[in-house]
Amino acid sequence: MNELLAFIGSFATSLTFCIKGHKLVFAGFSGMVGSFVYSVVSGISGHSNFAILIGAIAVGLYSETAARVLKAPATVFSIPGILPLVPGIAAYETIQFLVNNELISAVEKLVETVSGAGAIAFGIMFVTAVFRLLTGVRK
Amino acid sequence: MRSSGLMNIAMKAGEIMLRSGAEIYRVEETIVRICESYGVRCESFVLPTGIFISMVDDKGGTNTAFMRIRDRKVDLTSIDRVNSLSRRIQKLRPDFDIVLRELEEIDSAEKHSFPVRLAATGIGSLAFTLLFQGSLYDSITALAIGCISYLSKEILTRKGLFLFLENLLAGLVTGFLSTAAVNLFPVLDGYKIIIGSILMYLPGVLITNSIKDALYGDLVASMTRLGEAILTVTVLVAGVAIALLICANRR
Repeated sequence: MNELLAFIGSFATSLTFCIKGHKLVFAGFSGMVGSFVYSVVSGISGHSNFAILIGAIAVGLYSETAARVLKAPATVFSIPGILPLVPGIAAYETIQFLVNNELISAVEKLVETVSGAGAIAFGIMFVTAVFRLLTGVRK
Repeated sequence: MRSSGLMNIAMKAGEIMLRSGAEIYRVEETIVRICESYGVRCESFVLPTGIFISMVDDKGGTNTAFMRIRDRKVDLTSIDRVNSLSRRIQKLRPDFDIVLRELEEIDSAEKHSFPVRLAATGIGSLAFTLLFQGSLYDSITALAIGCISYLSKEILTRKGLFLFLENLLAGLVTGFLSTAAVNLFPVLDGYKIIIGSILMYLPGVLITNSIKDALYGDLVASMTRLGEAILTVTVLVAGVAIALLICANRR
């Protein structure tokens, strides 16, 4: 069920990024892959930032592969794909604590948010670097 | 003039890509690929706000042009199309006129119309609210709020005011409307509505590009895009925070 929602969410965001045609569906699948891996890993390990990292790596792998198969830039698939992984709840709680003037709790949540965002960034970065290494060797 | 025709198409291709939000290395590679397909040696230097192209002609003289890029939007289809066009140029070497016509066609191609994007924002807000364990009522409210905030953002964008003002407005509208909705119908969960509708405005393209630019060694572009992304998020969140703060104090 969550995977279906992630699909719809990524599909809708791709529309606002002006993606067209059959690539929209593949961009939607990217969100689905990320959200599926995230829920599996967070179910096993119970560590949300680790699950975000693995989810982002899955999105990266999916997008780089789709980019080569469909002959399109990888960002077409990775940008909509990472959105369901964004640590939205932690981000919101940061604002909530700031508004209530509970600064210590706010910093705690801020760190959680930033590390979640960092996990996404690192996941995408890692996959891009590995793919670049592999294609570089092939040349 | 052979080289000025080539300069035209290389510049046009780079301009479309950069304005649509491509990574720096992709723009530079495309420009160099186009020039080298026609056997011209070329260097390109691309910043997020400008393009420099320098070609070496047969007699050893250089021909340089630069262009300032002012407006930036997100249009992944245009990037995709220019990218595949440049690969076709590499194989087929068509006439400059044909390439220029195709580039202009890409530039003026029909984008998704405003109602489609509005509906997409609404449905996306709905899906993300459900994804964050919101109830059905939460997500329907998020759909309405997402549409209204996107509408107000679009109006401000068309007026062409400040770069970050539209995100502030989107945050403010989302914050106020969801607090109002929660006050009217206490069954609703305010924070799920806000997260669901805010997620659509996150600068995903900027962050992803910033990472990729850093990996390819385009440090200037990487840092400016990271800065832009942080500013965008801050402004968006500040909008929500201001709205929540005003509503909290009135209670």
